Amino acid sequence: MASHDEIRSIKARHGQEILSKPGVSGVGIEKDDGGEYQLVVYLADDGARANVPDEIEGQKIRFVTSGPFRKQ
Amino acid sequence: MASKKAAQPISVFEASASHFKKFRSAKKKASAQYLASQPQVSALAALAPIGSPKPEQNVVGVGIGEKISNGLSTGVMAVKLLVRVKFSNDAIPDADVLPETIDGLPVDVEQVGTFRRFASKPNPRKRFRPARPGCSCGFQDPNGQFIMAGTFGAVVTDSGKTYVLSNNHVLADENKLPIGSPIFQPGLLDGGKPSTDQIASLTRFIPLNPAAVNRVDCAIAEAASASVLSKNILFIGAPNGTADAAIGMEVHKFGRTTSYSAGRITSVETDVTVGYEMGSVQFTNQILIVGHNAQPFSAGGDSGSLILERGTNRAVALLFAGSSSHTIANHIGDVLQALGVTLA
Repeated sequence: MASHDEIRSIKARHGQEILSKPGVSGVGIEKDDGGEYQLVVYLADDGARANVPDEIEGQKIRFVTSGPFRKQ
Repeated sequence: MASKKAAQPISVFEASASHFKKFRSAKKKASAQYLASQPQVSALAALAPIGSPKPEQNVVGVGIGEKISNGLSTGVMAVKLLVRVKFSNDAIPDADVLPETIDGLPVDVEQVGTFRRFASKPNPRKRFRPARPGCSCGFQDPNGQFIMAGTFGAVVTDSGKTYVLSNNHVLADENKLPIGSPIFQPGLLDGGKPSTDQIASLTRFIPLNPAAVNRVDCAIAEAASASVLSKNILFIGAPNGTADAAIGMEVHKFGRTTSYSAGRITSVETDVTVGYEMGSVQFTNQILIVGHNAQPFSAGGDSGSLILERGTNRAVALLFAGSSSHTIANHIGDVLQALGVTLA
């Protein structure tokens, strides 16, 4: 299991590149059901899933279809 | 009305039209006997200790439903007597004991407490004086191309001056408006009138930069007078200082469009791309919130709402964006620091 700092540094290294992929709305850090920190990629639609690898630096990415983000 | 022996139990799954007719008749009798002389319950009366086992005072509702025995469903249809307090029969005078049957049909007594009106939520699109956080506010498009409304998030202060806090896109139209532009409550989309409804003037905004990574979408507008604003958020009350957001924190807000909502923080360090009129704008280290019961925590027009920890009312975030499932907010510490103000 990766520590919070490890997940943070992976996000710092790759977040910008992932966020620039088409259909990606966000890149963040959440906790899984067991309380472990995990990298999360938010997708504008399910189709964007193919634009991002399943894992990065050995860390599995969790995908959440959030839709596109708009100012409210 | 009370009889000794119950008829054959009727299953709630097999009740026929004629069964229902009998139950309705029994219900009508019980209503006439117990509910006819009910006094109106005011909020104050509801707070008074209720001790009377007299059916005229204790029975607050009559209905038809399933008999529940020791918390378990029985499948048996019954006339339901809803009481403020369920008393043990040997603890009260015989005259006050509720019947076990009515017209031969089983009676189920259920404790429901005292019914009273739910506290109604205020309508945030109305005019409020003093104006209160949670209500509609906004600017006037100088070209008259559109009207809009967002949310007045909080009262903030600096050097004895009092300001409305909201988003750049709610008070300054995405960097477009000149300092000094009037801010209205309610927003013009909600019927605010430029001639009578100005509460503040745009003082400062943190520019949104589509070519860089942003942390905040925020702006302040100086109040026309200190007394035109109240710091008490509609329905929620005054914020109680600030706190750092954390994953799993239970939060709530009151906003112009979805009024009161509660949710949970799922992330405090997410980078996002947000669509604006000016194009896509990137933000780093944002807070993500999902609403309870799969309900959206916010929608268009809630921008500018202050988000507070539910148990403590400490302010944690400023709402500015979202999708149908997620709400995005700036860390309140970043907002206050960028603008050089403190929460009133």
